[in-house]
Amino acid sequence: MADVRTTDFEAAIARATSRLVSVRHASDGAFITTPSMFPSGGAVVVWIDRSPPHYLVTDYGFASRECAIMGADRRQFMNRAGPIAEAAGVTLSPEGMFQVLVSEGQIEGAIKTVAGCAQEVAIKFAHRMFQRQRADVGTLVHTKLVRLFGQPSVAKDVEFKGASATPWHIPVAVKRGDEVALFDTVTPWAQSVAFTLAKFGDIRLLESPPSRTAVLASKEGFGSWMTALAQNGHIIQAAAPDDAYARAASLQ
Amino acid sequence: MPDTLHDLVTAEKAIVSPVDWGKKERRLELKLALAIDGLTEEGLFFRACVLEHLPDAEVMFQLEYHGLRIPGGTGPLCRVEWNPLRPHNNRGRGPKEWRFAEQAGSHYHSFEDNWNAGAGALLRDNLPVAVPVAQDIQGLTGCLDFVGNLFRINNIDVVKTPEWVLTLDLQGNANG
Repeated sequence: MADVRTTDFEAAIARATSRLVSVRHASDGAFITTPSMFPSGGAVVVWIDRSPPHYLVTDYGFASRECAIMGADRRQFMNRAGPIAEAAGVTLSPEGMFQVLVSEGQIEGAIKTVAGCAQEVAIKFAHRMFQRQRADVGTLVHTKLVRLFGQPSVAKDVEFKGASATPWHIPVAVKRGDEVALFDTVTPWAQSVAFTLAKFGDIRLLESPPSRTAVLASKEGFGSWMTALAQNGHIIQAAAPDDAYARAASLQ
Repeated sequence: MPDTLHDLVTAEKAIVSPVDWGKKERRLELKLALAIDGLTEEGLFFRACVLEHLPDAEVMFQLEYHGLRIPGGTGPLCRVEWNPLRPHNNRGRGPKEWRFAEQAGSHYHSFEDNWNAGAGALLRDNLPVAVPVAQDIQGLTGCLDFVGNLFRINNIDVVKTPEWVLTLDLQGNANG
């Protein structure tokens, strides 16, 4: 019985590993589907061109396409792809393809290298998109507060001194009479959270501290940092309704 | 006026001004502005992408939003991949029956499957969750009909068939 199970196990593994890589032949070459994946979940595919006596291994521009559908323009793609190609010892063609001309004994290594380059640039761009979504929050908050309180009451990119007399950069501030409310955008990265904690912690120690609100694009990725932020100010999601912003601006 | 990304996806939309496919590297692409209730929504686009030398394969249609007015994600909102060369895998995310499963055929990255309600944002990583398209789609025109219904684009028939080039020149030069 144990032998049967072992055989079944081995057969299942053998079937799975045999499916990890597949080939689709065309008249001019072959597409190789690799086990690597782009951030979107699409498999990384490389193309091997018949160039006797050599083999031209390329990513067929799939990495460029993957980045393009995330919003990358050509310049943004080339800026990220160039150093990756250079570090891997392959070429980035003017049309944005990772490629390398190799002999038969180098084909496997070239496939892995080109696939790795394609995957790496897409991961880098996905990460950049994620960061940009957070950066957009500042603009969104400003627009929303101007709509709520009017242009004269809302200031962008102001300096505000804390108890230590350190001037802190505040992305958006609302001032109505003696009431001041500060809004700081925070991204789920240690440096961003630490910086907000430092500025809000210092401002909180003032004799009459203004309202302080950390604005997040989403709660995703913050974990226990939410608790730390809540110790020094209010927290609001960028998509919160107007009355939530109004309350944040009036809570001292 | 739509106030959420979900509103953008579900609203009845119209292509504002159809344009011809443009060549970008080895791809043919379209990026068309969309209007909702007669008003062009800033940053909302319908994008289509095919490979120049592979007719009826690796065809991608996508709704995307790059505006600042609505929070929750900047970039793709939903996507259909018809006859892809490359299988898709959700990793350990999305509907249970499709976790870690290879999807070799046409698939749909829906807004709903990629929306994280708790976070109020789309999942990161370019719509990583997809499910197979159950419908048997016949030809590009059939695919456009299917996409028009899914994306609620009323006049998707204004999109022309791309001028695929049947010869393959690996230096990127069309010889058709």
